[in-house]
Amino acid sequence: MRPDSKIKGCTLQCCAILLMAFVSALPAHATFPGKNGRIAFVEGPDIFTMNPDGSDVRQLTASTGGDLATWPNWSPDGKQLVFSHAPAPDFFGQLWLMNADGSNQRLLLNDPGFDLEAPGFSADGRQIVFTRCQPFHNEFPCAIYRIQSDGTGLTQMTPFRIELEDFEPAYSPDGNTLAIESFGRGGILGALYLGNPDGSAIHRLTPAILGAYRPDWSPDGQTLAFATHCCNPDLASIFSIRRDGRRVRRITSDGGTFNDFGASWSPQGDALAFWRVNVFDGSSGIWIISADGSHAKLIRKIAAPSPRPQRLKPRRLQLHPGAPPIPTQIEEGGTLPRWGVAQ
Amino acid sequence: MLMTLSRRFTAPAAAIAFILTCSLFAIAQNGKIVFTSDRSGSWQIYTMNLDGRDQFQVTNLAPTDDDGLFASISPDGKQIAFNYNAGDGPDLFVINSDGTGLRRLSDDQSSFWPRWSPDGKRLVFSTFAGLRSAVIATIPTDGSGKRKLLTTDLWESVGGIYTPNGKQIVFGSQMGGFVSAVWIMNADGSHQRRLTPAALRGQPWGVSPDGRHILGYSNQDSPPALGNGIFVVNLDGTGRKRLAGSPQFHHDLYPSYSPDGSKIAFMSDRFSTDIDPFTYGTFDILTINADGTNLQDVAPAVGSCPFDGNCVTPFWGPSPSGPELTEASVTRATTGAPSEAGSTRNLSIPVSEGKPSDYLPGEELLPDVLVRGLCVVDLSTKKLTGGCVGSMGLHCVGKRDPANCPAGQSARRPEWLQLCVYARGYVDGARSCSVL
Repeated sequence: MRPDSKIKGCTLQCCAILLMAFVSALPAHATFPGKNGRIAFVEGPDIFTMNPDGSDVRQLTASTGGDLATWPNWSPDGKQLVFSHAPAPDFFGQLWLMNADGSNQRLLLNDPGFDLEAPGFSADGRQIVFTRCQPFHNEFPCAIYRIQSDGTGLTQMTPFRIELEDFEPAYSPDGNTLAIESFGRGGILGALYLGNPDGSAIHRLTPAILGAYRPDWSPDGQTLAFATHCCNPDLASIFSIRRDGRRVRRITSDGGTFNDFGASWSPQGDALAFWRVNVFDGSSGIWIISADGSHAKLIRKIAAPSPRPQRLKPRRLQLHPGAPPIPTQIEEGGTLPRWGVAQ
Repeated sequence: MLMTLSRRFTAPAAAIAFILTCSLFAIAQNGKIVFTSDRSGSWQIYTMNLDGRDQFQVTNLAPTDDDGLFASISPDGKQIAFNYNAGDGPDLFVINSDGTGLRRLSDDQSSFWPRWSPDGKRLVFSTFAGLRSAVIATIPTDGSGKRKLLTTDLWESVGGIYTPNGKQIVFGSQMGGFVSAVWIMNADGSHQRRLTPAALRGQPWGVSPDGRHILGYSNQDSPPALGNGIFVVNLDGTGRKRLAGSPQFHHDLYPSYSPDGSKIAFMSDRFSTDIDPFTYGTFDILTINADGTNLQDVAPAVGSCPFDGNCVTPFWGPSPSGPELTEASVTRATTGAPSEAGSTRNLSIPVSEGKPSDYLPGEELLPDVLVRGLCVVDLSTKKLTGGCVGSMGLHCVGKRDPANCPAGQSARRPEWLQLCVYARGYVDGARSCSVL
């Protein structure tokens, strides 16, 4: 990987997400409004929380036997977390719930043969929306499902289709809109889509040229942050777009060095937390940046990102002469900072 | 079943140093179809007539894991450009259609899918550049110049094709955020514009000789479960229609217009019996008329293609404008006279007559059997450099394995065998016939 001075300063019109390389499929999220609370994140095989200044780090899970805990997401009241527990050796996620201090960990849904990822709460806290993926003839199609927080009422919201990966469902804070990211839908490499809460009437929000992924609702429900390789195929940046599709704005800059993923708005809407990877030395950390794109600050270095294995999804036919496997794929795992509401 | 014969062979009176016997071939007036196959155990380039006859192995490339060999025939029919990956990545090569004159055009281990300009002076091809993405580029065919990149390295673009007037290049690209779409641009890379909708996932593969239509296939870069179908679209993006309506879960790929524009050749697994909905089946080479009618499976005449599953990437070339290979040239070759290619000589030794299909690899020939043929041998290394292909015979063939035929069943299809005969009289199925 390397910076390319040729493309610095390119406009959105010239932007591209070429190959969707190094895309991290992390849980889409709505940050629910409230006072800024703790940030949940993944380091190694476990889930932690910390204050927004990086202090008071607490470990919530204690994975053993090679199992992994990942995909944390806060309930609207900040009292619970839903997460994915991925047992070794195949790391197919199960949905679990726990209290904000890590107590009362309990299974919500074990779905053998399926990988349950990216869970998130509905605005009323009664439902969990998530991604359900199934290995299927060298593909890994994913569809959106939801389930009541008491474990009943499993419901499919988008279809399983061989060419389609629907990821990262997130209800808007007002509960009226579902946002997802989707790869391959309608021949579009990747984009954010909005739909009704039941998964109907899904329509594209972001232009194809942005290749937007990893949506996160702002607490006022008017804006979504997302990541895009628009302006450098090697380096993603955090952007935002209004829910009406207007006002695409850049929030972070790659500086020729940084891969920025996984933005999570603060409950007060004044800042975003995100995961930043230095592609030259491999170091990474959780950063906070003001909503206007100023004052980026490292709050925690991540010594060991989640070891969750990647589900590689090459899109390129093996028939293609001379073409090596193209990294047109989705990488899972990561630090997944999620900003919760203060209790 | 193949007859199993084991008869004593005695060399003819002419104490030949070596005997390499394969089918007598001639370049027909009709334009050849060039295709790739690993029937010999490694991926090689072959040519054949439309009816599957006169198959000729053009190349004798070192075995490689890369099954991405692709070849196209020059506008005069005399040369073949292809990409070959010796291990580090694909490069462009040009070889004469008779298997002589192999030369390398690129040395970047990242170039593939070459197609000729109408005047034969340039190739348009795909190459990995800059940000690791494939872009469309051109390069002079005489090796005189550097490659010229025509598309951005921010997006992946593959499969450029010149229009017949040479003024435009049609290509497939992800530009704009699409899985794949058909684009067109001026030959200098300017004025790029998209012609097909995102949902088609289209990849162009040919332009009609009259310059009016683009030929392509759908669902590029998509899982095999989606299937691939052939479509045509006008050069302005209008008039798109599907041809040869591919059955669900089957794959029609790499369509190529006949030089006169009346037919289309393509590869398809629609007749494969070993297909399931989620993988590729065994590919045949089929033809249809340019209007989509008269689907024909030419594979029965293509010998082992439907059974080894590896007759792929057909490209239909024009009739060569030069003299065809004649009996006289074979006779000259028999004498060992140097060919124009220099160190490579065409040698053919008449040994005996008979059907090569009477023999199995490793068997001895009867002294009274004369098998006529021609191989291309580098006399300095005493190794084949190309042009030694199998002979056609009739025997029973079964799915992938001729031995699976029921006992007593007669031959159903002509089948090609890979035969090379040593001086000792052994018939060897291996590619690497060495000279004794």
